[in-house]
Amino acid sequence: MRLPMHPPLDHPDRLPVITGIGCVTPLGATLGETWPRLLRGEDAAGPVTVFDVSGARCKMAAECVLPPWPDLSPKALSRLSRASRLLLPAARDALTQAGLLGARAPSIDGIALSISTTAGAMGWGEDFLRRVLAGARTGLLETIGRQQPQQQILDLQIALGFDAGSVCILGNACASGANALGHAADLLWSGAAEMVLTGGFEALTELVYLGFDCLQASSTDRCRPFDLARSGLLMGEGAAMFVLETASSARRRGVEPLAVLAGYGHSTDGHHLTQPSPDGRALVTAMRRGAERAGLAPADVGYVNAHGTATPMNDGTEVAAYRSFFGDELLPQARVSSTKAVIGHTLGAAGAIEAAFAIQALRTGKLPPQMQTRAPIPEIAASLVPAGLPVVSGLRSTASVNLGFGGSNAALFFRPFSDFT
Amino acid sequence: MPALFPLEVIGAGAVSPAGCGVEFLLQPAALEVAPMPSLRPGAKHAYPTFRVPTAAAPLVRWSREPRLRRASPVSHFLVEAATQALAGHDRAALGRLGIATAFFTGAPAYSRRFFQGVLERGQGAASPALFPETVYNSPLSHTAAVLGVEGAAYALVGDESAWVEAMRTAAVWLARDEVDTVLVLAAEELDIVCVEAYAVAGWFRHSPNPFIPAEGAAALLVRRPQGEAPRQIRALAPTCSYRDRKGAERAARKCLANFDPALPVAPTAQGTWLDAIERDATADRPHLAPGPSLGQAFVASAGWHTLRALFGPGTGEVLVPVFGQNQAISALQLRAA
Repeated sequence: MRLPMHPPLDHPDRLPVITGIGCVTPLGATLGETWPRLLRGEDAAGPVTVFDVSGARCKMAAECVLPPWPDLSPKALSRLSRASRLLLPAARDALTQAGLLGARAPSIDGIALSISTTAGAMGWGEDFLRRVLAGARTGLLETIGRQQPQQQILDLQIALGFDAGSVCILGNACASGANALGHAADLLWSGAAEMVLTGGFEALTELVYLGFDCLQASSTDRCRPFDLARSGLLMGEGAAMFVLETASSARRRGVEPLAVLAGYGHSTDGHHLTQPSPDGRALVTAMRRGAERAGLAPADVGYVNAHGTATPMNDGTEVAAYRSFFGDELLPQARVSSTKAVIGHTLGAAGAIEAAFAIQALRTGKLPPQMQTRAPIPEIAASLVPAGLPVVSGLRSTASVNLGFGGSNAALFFRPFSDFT
Repeated sequence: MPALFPLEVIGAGAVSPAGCGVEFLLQPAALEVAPMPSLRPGAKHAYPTFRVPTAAAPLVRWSREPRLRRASPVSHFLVEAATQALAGHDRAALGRLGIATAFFTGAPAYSRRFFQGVLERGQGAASPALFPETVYNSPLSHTAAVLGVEGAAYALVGDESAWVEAMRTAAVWLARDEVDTVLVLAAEELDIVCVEAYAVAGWFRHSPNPFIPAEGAAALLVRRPQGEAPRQIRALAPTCSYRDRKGAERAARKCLANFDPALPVAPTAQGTWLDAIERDATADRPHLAPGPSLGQAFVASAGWHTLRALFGPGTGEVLVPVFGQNQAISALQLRAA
């Protein structure tokens, strides 16, 4: 069945299609490893090992096992930040799937980048301050010189052997990963680019961990999204990268699109620096804008990968937004889950990783279950995806939504490429 | 889809060590070097810096704004520059307003204070008042809240080239009909942890033209041209990434080859290793007189150079190099009134 098309979709050559996805999450070094474990509801939470948390309130996080990078010597590998160790494999896998890496692959010199992070290699910044305060004089440049996010982007270019074109690094807090993908689509729609390597990455760092800890935004219990007794988030880390290109570029290259990023909406909530407006109106604006651009009505949205941090403020706001977007009549039929319950909140990577899950859901009809939630908020209870849900056939679209510190809100809507052929 | 460029410039603002206002960029009084003491234990040395006079009336008013009471200096700089750019405009007539902001270091003062507090007093003493202000987009969030912006708002991170990406973002939003006008902003605050890092990088040792870190903000209000548009952003270079000095030289040549060789250059040398590269890459072009140095405030400096070229004594088409310290080379072509 063909869905109605919003005017921007009438430029079929510039349609933003996804032709490659790479993912590193606490559940696996690839999307192929992560996805079945996510569907089984496996849990990546465990004690924090990457830095000392003995003085912190919380002690748990969802850590990644760093993927091997056989092409690099151990010495070269040791020069990469943890953030780069997550970003690089995700980007490599996305480019490989899109047919853009390898002996016969076309050059990707000049490819635009639209990439999100909130902290870059903050761990090295922490180390720099610690050592300067201790009076250290040597060995400082190796770390501080490669702490800023643009240095991970340079690591990426060196490791994969290309020179990027325009580089947009988005630091819009926890909505940033979705913003990066949406911006990539905007670059394609507007003619500013033909192909974009996009996504987000985040490594666990002590500063950020302690920040959420001291705000009491992270939980000493489990992360229970949309639960009446929710008490906070689980910190996580990871990366997801995508090749996004115009439909005409994919056609020229003979590459089969995996999905279409059909709609993107974003908005700003001025209510408070760290708390969303309780009525969720900024998220509703982002969702309506994105759905409209995708040519979708709320009833067409078959699955929403929710932000669902399990903080008291966020989840209440999000439920209010879903009630407004779907309407009380439709909401019980909507299917929603927050995968942060098992992979944690990956901050600048969250919007990208969760977009990868939304695309997988669209492609397979399998929906990630809502784990850890015991007593759901009544208004959303019927919408939460139960474990063991049979494959949903004929999903017409899926969405991924994110909210962030500072009032950033973003919504992405995906549709099958077959809708446009 | 409409063409991305040109964009019409309809407002501007600046906060710099010379003062609050674009006019201070054009004819700055002699700046006083403010020594910033080293963070190292027992150190007696200090680094030269140019600081924004935060006691100036335009900035003091923002410390009384409820949303900004706990905010770091960079938020104050940003709001002030944005407010200047909007001055004289009927806010409703501007329609849907977006904000694209570039940062190089973000909010280092609160980040350093937060983590130094942890190191000195333990993890349990981490400050919930400081942490939210350490996030890259917190100054943007404050600015959006103060100005009542509820639409598009991005915090872009990078070296000076992020200023060009912010401009590109504005053009994309306008072409996509996401907004009607865009505030393109850049801001930088100084903190000793950054200055120590610049020292470690050897930046204070370079060049006869001394490197003096600075802080401040720049703002441009842009829209799609409506009728006569005396000041315009005419074109952006495709940004060229580099990985080392040789790569930066190549990137500079490649980047500037996109522009008419007869275009005069507004020089932007700031006492860094990039000065020689800019000089070589623009050697065959006519040059406008360089403005007095306000120090190196990275993305904010890129904004100041753009404002000087747009509002300075020169007229006609001008090329502004935007050579980034550690990531990419770019440039803007402007039309000054």
